[in-house]
Amino acid sequence: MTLLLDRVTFRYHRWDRPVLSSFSYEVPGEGLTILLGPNGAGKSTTMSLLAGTVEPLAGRVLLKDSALTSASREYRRHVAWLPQRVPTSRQLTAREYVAYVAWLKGENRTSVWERAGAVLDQVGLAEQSGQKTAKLSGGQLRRVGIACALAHDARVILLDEPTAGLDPHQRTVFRDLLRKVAARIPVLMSTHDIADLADEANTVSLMDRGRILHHGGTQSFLDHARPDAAPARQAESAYSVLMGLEGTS
Amino acid sequence: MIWWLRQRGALRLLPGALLAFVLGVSMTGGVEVVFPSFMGHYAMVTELSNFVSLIPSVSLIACLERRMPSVERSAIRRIDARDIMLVSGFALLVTAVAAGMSLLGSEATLVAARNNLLFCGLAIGAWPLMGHRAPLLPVFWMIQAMFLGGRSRDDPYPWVIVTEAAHVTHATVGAAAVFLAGLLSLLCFAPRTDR
Repeated sequence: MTLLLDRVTFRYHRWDRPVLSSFSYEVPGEGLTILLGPNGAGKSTTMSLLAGTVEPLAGRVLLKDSALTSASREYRRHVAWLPQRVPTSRQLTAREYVAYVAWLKGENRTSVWERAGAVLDQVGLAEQSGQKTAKLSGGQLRRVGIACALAHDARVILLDEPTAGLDPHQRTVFRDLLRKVAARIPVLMSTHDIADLADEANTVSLMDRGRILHHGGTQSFLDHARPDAAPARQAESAYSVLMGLEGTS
Repeated sequence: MIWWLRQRGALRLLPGALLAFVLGVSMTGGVEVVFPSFMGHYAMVTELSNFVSLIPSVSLIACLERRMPSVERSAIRRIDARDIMLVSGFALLVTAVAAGMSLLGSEATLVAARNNLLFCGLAIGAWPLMGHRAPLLPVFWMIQAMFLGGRSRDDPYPWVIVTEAAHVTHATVGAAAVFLAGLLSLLCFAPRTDR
């Protein structure tokens, strides 16, 4: 199952220029897809539209092959969304938080409690399940967000800049988890950090000013690198070439 | 639902506010304070328990501010409706408790019941616009009632409401009208967490 933005136009205020104009994008139906782009490219807007938290001015956001649009409850049931800043709670423990989010997605109260414990175990937070989320570190909080997605049987997971603000160790732990999750459920992750390409992404989409500049496999993205680019800097070089920041030779 | 109640503070914050209100009104009933007047108006004698009536309105805003929009906006359960029912239900419960206490003989509790309705209406009405600063409106109303609300000695302007005696009908009707307007504002203008 995959998500589709079909000729979507969106702007935040009536008097603003549209962030996206007749924009179409299809989230690949498997593996990890990275939506790469500089700040202001329209990534978070794209993610919010796909999550159904905002509605397009024109066009449709739908679950492909089902005709369910983002305005429907059924659509939102299938889509898990980890916002850029995961809100914390001083009232709820990690397990309660996961159960609460799954309950919000329409899951049954008694079943989500058991599942919340199980998915926290899967993301390596069994020991922290009784801690208030406000006391968790940034990396642990991102993993709680992944647990929320797993607890309500999402068909697609959307992660908006999940590695921002994480230290190198937390990033490594998070990437390992992401790899495991993406093997089961399609994941779309937005980022402006080229280092995130090390996540063995299946697909890379490069976005700038509301347009997709590249959409394809990771290798096809790296093929745009300058021939003289060092292997460790190929991703950076490909990014610069595609963004028009440097020539191909 | 228990997690939603816990997140909103319905199990600790709101009962705590109710208890503080009941104890506060009981302990300060009959204690009067006089503040100076400004701009040539008459000073108003104010019951200390009128200040205690601010507690429930502040706790209602604290409750609403515990929403997690970025998570709840993609929910499929009707959280908005539950939130509105929770805060309006709590405001009415506090009013009913204070009105019930007045049967024991204290007129101050009846005034507290009416003022609670007024302050809760002002706070929830202001919340969609002012967010966490919404309790400032009832506090401001209380202050202006004391400093500017005296038409003559012990005779407040009709629109003041707060410092009116318990049996004044227009004050009760005014407080109820403000509460309904606040509820309407919450229904129409509160940021949506779901659709």
